Amino acid sequence: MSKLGSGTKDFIIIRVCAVLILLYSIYLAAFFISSNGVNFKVWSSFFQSPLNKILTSAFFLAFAIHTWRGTWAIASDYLTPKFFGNFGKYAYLTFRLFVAAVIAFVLTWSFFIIW
Amino acid sequence: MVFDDLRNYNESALNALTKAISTKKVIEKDNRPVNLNLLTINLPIIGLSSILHRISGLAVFICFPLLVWLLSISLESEKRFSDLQNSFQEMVLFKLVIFLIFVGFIYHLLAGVKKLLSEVFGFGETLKSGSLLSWTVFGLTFVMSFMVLFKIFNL
Repeated sequence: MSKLGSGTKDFIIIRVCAVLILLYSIYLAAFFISSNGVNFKVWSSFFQSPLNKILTSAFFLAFAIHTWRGTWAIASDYLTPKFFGNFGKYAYLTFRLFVAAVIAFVLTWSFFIIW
Repeated sequence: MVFDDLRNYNESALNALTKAISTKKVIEKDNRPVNLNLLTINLPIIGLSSILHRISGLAVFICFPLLVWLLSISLESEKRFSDLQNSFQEMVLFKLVIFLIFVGFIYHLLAGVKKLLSEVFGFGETLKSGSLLSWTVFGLTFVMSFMVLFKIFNL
């Protein structure tokens, strides 16, 4: 990894996180399909199992990294001086700050929900 | 001898480039017109699939705190869980929002799988196979959305 450029690292990291999110989605879908009708008992014991706590934490971490890079790709394409003139720089910074706040909020909150 | 010639050639090419830059010949070339009015661009299916991947990703990201909020309520207590279930059954808007988030998420997942397939295995790199794969992603999204629609609206 150390020999790779930062762009290549980003490229790989965003895809590894994407695969993690995909696998977690399949895992969650499998839970819903296999447990015919979810009640509180099934639902809460599902979230109390240590395995699920670890997997869900990994999912939220992957979500945070994936969306941080993904929204960067969007912002650096459209929130530019070409589209917004002098305001482009501030639009970019405002959007990045907003995204950072949402991710920090979601990560903290999910940590308190899971553990 | 050949290398000397090559070096001389490179030097003269570099000189010509430096001269061109200093007389702004190269810089003037960058004044090409830029057409980025999306309404005037005929977007092919592969392009549409790509831009929708971005839009759906951003949309799901913005809606995500709502899902975390629902998760936190559902795990709070048995009463809160059944309250949530009742309001889900009673409110059409609630169902609709969840359904739309699902559509955005499933599209983003499938389009992401399509992207990975082309990057890892080289699937869908030609115009024909790329269009076919894009249509497949739209088709699968459509089918899975309808399955979930029937499920959550008890049709």
